[in-house]
Amino acid sequence: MTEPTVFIVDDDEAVRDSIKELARSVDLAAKTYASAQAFLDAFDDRLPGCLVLDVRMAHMSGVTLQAVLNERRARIPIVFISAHGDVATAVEAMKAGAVTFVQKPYREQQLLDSINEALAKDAASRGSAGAKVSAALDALTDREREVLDLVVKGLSNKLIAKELNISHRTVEQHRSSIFDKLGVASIAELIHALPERRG
Amino acid sequence: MRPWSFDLTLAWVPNVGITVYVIDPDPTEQRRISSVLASDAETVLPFASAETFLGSRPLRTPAVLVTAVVLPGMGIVDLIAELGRDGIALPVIAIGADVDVPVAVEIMRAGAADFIERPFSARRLKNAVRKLCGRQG
Repeated sequence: MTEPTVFIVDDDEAVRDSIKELARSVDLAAKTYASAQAFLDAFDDRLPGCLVLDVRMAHMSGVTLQAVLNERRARIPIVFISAHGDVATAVEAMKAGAVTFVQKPYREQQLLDSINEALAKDAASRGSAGAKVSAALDALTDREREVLDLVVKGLSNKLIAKELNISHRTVEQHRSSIFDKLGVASIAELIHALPERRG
Repeated sequence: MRPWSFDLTLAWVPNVGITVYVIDPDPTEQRRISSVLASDAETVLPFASAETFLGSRPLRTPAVLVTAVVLPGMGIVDLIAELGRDGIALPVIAIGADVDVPVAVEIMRAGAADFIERPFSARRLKNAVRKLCGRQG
């Protein structure tokens, strides 16, 4: 199996090199890219690892790169770094599924902890449990996805039926099918089985 | 762990029985949030603390929780964790003033669905609630 790689994208060479050194210091493989486009050209979602990404870069920003990866349904977990104290940007990055957002100047241990957390998330999503959930979600029909979305939002079967203009009985059938496909028996289990939101 | 929401573009259909829970120790802020969301929600229920809100369970659904970051007693992160432990799919919108990035990030990592800075625009808050309670038109 390929060892996980820390992919570092930052247009500042000194930052790229220092994070690469940090990763290497704990025996992690690391690859650097000077731009979001360079990373995208080389990106292969089958390769395990995580992405350390600067928010602001010339040409394509880190946040735009995140949006592109989400559109492609890429799974790679993202750790953002930023020199700027913009809460709104950090919140948008988190809503779009980032693992975390590290502000400069950061303690090296803090960045390492974040990288390790991202790598653990990546491993979990590729492991048999994570892969099973992903496969199960892919196996849902469009209608089942609609129902799942409303179930997760807390709607009762009655409201879901009204919402989607289908019968109560049909909603129950979809729910039952969703639970079976995902291998869960309750809402609590369902919520805990679902991966973190992306996009 | 945040519930996964699908990226469907949904048109807003008002007054479909949404309950908005509001937690803010400041009554003026409670009123402000309530008035901004009055036309989008069927019911707005204000509380002054996490404890009194949790004491009002069972929760109505569908619902969303709008809460101040600074709370007396149980803090916002513990509150979100408590809701997560109970397996309750209640989206949480945090509202805070003078908050720095690490605090906002911590609250998002704890499981908040959104974070809005004070002073907040009515538009921002309405859109946040609509997005979380979005319906097909």
